[in-house]
Amino acid sequence: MNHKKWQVLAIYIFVIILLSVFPIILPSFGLYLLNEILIYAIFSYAFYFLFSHVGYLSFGQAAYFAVGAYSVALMYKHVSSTIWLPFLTAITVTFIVAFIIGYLSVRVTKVYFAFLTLAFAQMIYTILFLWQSFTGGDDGIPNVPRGYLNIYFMKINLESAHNFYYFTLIIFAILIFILRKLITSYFGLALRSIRENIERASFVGFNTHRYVLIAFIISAVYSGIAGALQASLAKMAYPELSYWSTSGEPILMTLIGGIYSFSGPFIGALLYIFLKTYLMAIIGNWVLFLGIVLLILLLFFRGGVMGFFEQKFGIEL
Amino acid sequence: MNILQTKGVKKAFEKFIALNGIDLEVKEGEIHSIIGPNGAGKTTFFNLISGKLKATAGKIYFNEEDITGKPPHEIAQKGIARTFQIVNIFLNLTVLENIMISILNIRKKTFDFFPSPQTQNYINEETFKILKVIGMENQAYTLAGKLSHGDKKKLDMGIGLAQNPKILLLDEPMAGLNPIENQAITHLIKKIAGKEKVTIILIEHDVNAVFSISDMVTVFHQGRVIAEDKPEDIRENKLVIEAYLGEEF
Repeated sequence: MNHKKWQVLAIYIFVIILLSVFPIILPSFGLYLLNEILIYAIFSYAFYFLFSHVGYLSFGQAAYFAVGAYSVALMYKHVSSTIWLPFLTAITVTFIVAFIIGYLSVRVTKVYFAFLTLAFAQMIYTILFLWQSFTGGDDGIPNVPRGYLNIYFMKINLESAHNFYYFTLIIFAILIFILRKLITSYFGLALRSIRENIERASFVGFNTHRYVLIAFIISAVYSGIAGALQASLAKMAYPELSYWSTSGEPILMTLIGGIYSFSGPFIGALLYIFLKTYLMAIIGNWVLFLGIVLLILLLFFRGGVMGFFEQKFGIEL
Repeated sequence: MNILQTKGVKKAFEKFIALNGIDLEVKEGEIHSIIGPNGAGKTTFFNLISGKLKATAGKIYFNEEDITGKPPHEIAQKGIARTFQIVNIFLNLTVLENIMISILNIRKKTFDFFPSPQTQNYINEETFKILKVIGMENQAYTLAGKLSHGDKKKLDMGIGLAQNPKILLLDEPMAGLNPIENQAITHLIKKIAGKEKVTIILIEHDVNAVFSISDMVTVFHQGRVIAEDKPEDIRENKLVIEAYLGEEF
């Protein structure tokens, strides 16, 4: 490993230590925010993977976010009080839904893909909204417990804010590690070749639909896990989790953080949630401010915040 | 033996008939060129063989297997690679990665998430072997988008060659090149056909190059084959001179 790589590794380790130690001194509201940041970072990584590494802009990631959230909420309510079954259900159901929607969507690219995924997500929204007896309709599912994490004889109650935070942090770390592995693997290279030139990739011999579908499902499952965590954190699942504005959030976060940087989605989620929370309290009209921020980014810093830093310091984070 | 054979291949775009019954036989190991004026249907013919377009009628056989209407990736996997008239490479990937993609596919390693050091070694070795053939090992880590036009053309051919194909379809590999680059490409085509034992079907407007390297030349005109012969005989063919080569030739 060269000097630069050590630097990057050192920064990553520092951030992980920070994320592990910082919560001890945080007040409960700050802890909640940080927890939400980690969840939305997972959600943003799901979008980032499909967009930055495969070249497909999904405008319907909220569908899987909501499917994950509802799966966990319903399972906790009716079936199990430990995390395993609800989370496995969330992963399985998002997998199946993503397989069906993905199978139909990967046939098109670019703006058609964006609109098709959006249309499917709105369908999910409509189902969640109208199926009163199963999903609770407009009210959603309130009072979702956070469940227990039981490994062997250990039984950790996730109702405790700290316990749930560390649970999220571990899942976050595992998912980011896997994603990093995926991106740097041969599979990741094949995906980037599709992003670069899907026509040539198919003439090289790749069944491009299959590759994109696999990436689509991975992205959806990541979104589903994020949704499952969000429903546990907020203790409720509601139809707006699948609304198009929810799909927009990981897009904005990734844009702010940097679409070309691996750390982009995390930094983006951090800035977005932080600014949203505090600006809403201070100036009220946060959306106007968001618009200005996006305008500046898109005009002057296409690579987002991290793209700017990477260029400035010459390292890839 | 015929490695590729087409029987009565026809392609119509609504009312316009681009190809009107092409019968072509390509022998294993030869450099077989297709020439003809613009709009004669040469590229359309490549698009049918490589699966980009579906034939309206007729059959295409590769090693006596019917491949008519198969999708591009299946045809590529069977061993037919192609390049494109307009450079068609992976611009934001390095030269090395451009070639490696083909190698990974033929070695079925794209789903190997924990490749052993041996696997990594031979993938790298095979990649560099191709880079050496196209003479670009010194540019391995350059982004493909930053290459000169001539190098992009070479890389385009390298991607095809890295697929370890039985047939390589080259669509105007010399278009837009300066004389030195032109010579380098001509040399490269000969090398691929000779040393690598790849059958080459070549579409090219540079007739001097075509006549100097081809074993067989087929002339397309308005969607039909008007002549097929050895280069020296095509030169003398009255029909060909009239339709394409012109008097001064």
